[in-house]
Order: sequence, then C-alpha cells, then structure tokens
Amino acid sequence: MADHIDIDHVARLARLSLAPGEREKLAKDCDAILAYIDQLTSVPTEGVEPLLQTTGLRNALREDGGEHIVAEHLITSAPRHDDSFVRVHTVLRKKK
Amino acid sequence: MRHTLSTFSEALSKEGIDILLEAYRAMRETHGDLNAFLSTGTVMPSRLEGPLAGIPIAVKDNILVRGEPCTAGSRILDGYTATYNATVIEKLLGAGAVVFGKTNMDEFAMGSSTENSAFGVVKNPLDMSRVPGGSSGGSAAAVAAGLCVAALGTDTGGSIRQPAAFCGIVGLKPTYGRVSRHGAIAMGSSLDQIGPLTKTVEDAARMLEVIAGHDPYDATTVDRPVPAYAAKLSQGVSGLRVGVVQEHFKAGLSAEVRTRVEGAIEALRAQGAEIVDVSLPHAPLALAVYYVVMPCEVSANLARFDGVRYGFSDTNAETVLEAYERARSGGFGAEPKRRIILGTYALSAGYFDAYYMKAQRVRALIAQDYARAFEKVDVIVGPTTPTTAFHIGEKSDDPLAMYLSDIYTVPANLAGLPALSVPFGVGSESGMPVGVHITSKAFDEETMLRIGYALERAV
Repeated sequence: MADHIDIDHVARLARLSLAPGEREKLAKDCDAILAYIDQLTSVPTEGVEPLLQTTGLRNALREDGGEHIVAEHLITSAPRHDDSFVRVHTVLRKKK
Repeated sequence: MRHTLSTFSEALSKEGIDILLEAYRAMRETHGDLNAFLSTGTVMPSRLEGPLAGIPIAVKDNILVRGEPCTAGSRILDGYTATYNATVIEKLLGAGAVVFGKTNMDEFAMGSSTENSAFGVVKNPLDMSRVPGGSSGGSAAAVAAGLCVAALGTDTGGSIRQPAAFCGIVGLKPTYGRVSRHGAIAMGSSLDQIGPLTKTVEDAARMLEVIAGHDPYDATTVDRPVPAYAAKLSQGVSGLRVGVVQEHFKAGLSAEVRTRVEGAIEALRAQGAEIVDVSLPHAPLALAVYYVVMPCEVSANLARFDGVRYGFSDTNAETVLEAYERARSGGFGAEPKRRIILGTYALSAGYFDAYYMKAQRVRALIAQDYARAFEKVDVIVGPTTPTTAFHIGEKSDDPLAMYLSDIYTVPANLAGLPALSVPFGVGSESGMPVGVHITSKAFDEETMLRIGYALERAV
C-alpha cells in the first residue's frame, strides 16, 4: 500500500475540483486515514475468501417490466430541462 | 410529548384527531431550538387504520417521501423533491402511520455528531452544548425531545445506535437484508440498513414488524417470514447465554460507560442469564476495514450526483466536464469529498487488490469471529460507544478521532448482523445517557429484543 495520495489525479478521476486550502487539508486528512488503514497489511489473509456480501443471495432476478414513475416528474427534477428533455452541457467543443 | 406507540394510540382513541394536530403544532413551534428537522411536511395515510394508526413518525432526510423535499443533509440536493416513496414509507403509511417531517442528519449520513449537515448542527435535547450523535442525529433528538413518537434512521456503521445511545433512547439496526433499502439514498450499499429510533424496546419491535420483509425493489432483501417481535419480549432472559467480549473493555472505553455496561451485564446475570467470555480477535481491525470498504462504496454511489438530473448545478459551466466538477465541488461538503477521494483512490488501478480486496478478506475474518462466538452464546453485550455525548466542536477538526466513536458499532455492519442500543442509566461524570449494545445472530432480532426489554426494566 502507498501512504500518500496524488490528490490532483484522484480529484480529477472523482470529478472534483478543489480549492487550494481545501486541497491541502484533504491531502493531510487522507494521509492520516491511510496511515491508520495500513494496519491491515500485517494481517495474514492467505486463503481467506473476501466477504463481498453477507446474505449469500445469488442472482435475484425478476421479470423485466413493472410500474414506472411519471417521466414528467423526473424531467422537471433536472436543473436544466426543455419540455420533455434534460439539457446537458457541451460534450465536445467545436474546433476553433 | 412523552408518548410511546401504545400511549399515543390510547390518547388518540380517547381524545380524537385533535391530539395529532396538537402534536404537529408543538413540533413546528419548538423544533427550531434543536434544528432537528429539515422540513416539516406531513403525509397522512389513506386510512387511519392498522398497527401504527395515527402515530406520528419522523423520517431521516435520506429516505424518500413522495412530494416532500429530500436533501440527505447536502447542498447538492437542496431544492430536490422526491418523486416516489421508499418501500419503508409505503409500509408505514400502509400501517396507518403519519409521516411527520424529515429530520436533519450528517451529509449523506457521513458523521457521528450531525455537525456535518449542510443545514446546521443538531443539538442534544438533554444538553444543548452537546452533540446528539450521528448521522441520524435529527431523528434521535426528535424522539428524545418528544417532537414525534418514533423515527426512522439509517445505519451504515452505527448511525442509528450511536445517536440513540447519546440521546438516551432505543435504536435498532436490523440484519442486512431484513428491511428494504429501496428509496433510501445509498451510502455504503453492502452495509446500509434502515431501522427505528424509539422511546422503548417494545416500540422498536413493533416498528420492525411493520418495516421488515422481502421487497422485489431491493434484490438484497431476504425472503423469510417476519416474526411477531413484540409478542415474545417479556419471556425473560433466564437460560440465555450472553457473550461478553474482553477486547471491548480495553483502552479507549471511558470509566463511566464501563461502569454502567458492567452493571447491565450483572443485571442480566441476576435475571438468570449465563454470562460467557467470548473473543472477537479481529474486531479491533473493524474500523480500518470500514474506512476502506465504505469510502469505496461511497465513491461509486455518489457518482450519480452530477448536477444533470437533479440537485445543485452551476449553469455557467461551458463543457459537461466543467459542469460536473462545479456541481460536485460546490454541492458536496468536506466529509463526502474526503470519502469520495479515499474511495476513488482505493479503487483506482494498481491499488484495488491492496486496499479493497485486502479489506474484504479481513472483513471475512471478522464475520468468522462472530460465527465462532455465536456457537457459544445467543447474544453479545457491550458498550454502544466509548464515551457519552461529547461537546459540539470537540472532534470536528479531527476526522480520525470522530471515526473512533463508531468502534463498537461498525463490526455488526461489516458482518451484516442485527444490533440494538438500549439506554442503561447515565454516566457518573457527564450525567449523559449510556447505551448498552446487543448483537445477535443474523435474523435473530427476537433474542436481541428480549435482552433489551429485560435491561430496560432493570435500570
């Protein structure tokens, strides 16, 4: 395990832009938490299956279909919308 | 309003609907002092009939109630109105309950003091200079102050039980898969459960009877019958085997909490329970496991908050990437950002095995410890929290110190087990309530509630 986060890289992956003061506080806090987590490295876990869930349920399937929420309510929840569409920002910028 | 479910029902049948209106007026007029509610809209059931007929129940603001605001304590959802009911809300309304406002909470249920709410700190009704615990701090404060009869909370690492302990009430986290999470805003999906905060153990049992059960909308709910939890409460504890974990009484536990918890164990012994020493050797690692697994799940669950479909958005952004970053940076507070960064890092290429998979292997060892302990005992009893309610501001600058508040509650979430906090008197130094924590086998909420009921009577 590493004990230091490349905070700018990770923030970019997480779609967060951090203000300078905020960035330093976060980096410091995260390093302290990682140092605490580091105690896990010394625990012997060879041959132990990871516990990804606790119920033991597998493939809980159902028929495709069912009730639907009125689309209008969902559309009007969007901060930017036109009639029956959610408006999004430019994905690809035009070449100038 | 000191009412329990049964005394409120009696009062309602004697005095009629006026008592409900009076309760609503009192809640609206007085909740501001505690900052326990984020919105005070009520939803009436279609018929005032059923096991919870007319009972005013407050709901944590990360559970969707159709037509009501739902913020999860975050600016990123300020102004959002829920478009459907969570399954637990359908069940409450179906049982005749009145949805009685949405309670304040740590942002996205991340915190142990309710100081992380974007909408201000909640105060402990027993001492306004202290925190009510968290993240379901608004629900706990509202119940303890008598602003409602009972409340719903969510518990990912202790968020029902810890505030219940701090406010001197009962808090129950069901077995993972016992109660549907459909319509609860997800934090750590393999850990989250919805549960009741109540004034009595009997009320917790009656609430669980209503909200438990299989739900086709939550594929992790288990299809097995829901017992009549309240019916067997008074059977006593004679012959039950109560496990005590020596690791729980080591460094970090305050003397006043220790004294009360030892008193609770003696009370159970006096009532005929057999006290058995058990060991959970990996339990001290639970918090380290939790601070890998939970942030990983948080970073995935909170990816949906992008400012496009709902919530806070910065309309001046030029590109979609800039819009995402502005919405998330402006909308999330410090704690969600910290956990998103940690989780994104732990799941990033090259680190996944070292952090996430390693933590899930140690999680398996913790669950195996419980399985071995439950071969010898029916329940495990210990402290809910290392200390009683701390002062506002005391831990807010040190995340790791804050995280340690959950050291005794986190293991049950990691292992998917049910757990209950029951008040057992007050600490001799702080004068604040002490919670006793009872964990039982998966889906054996009945035994856990029997122990809680006996303790309630022994205080």
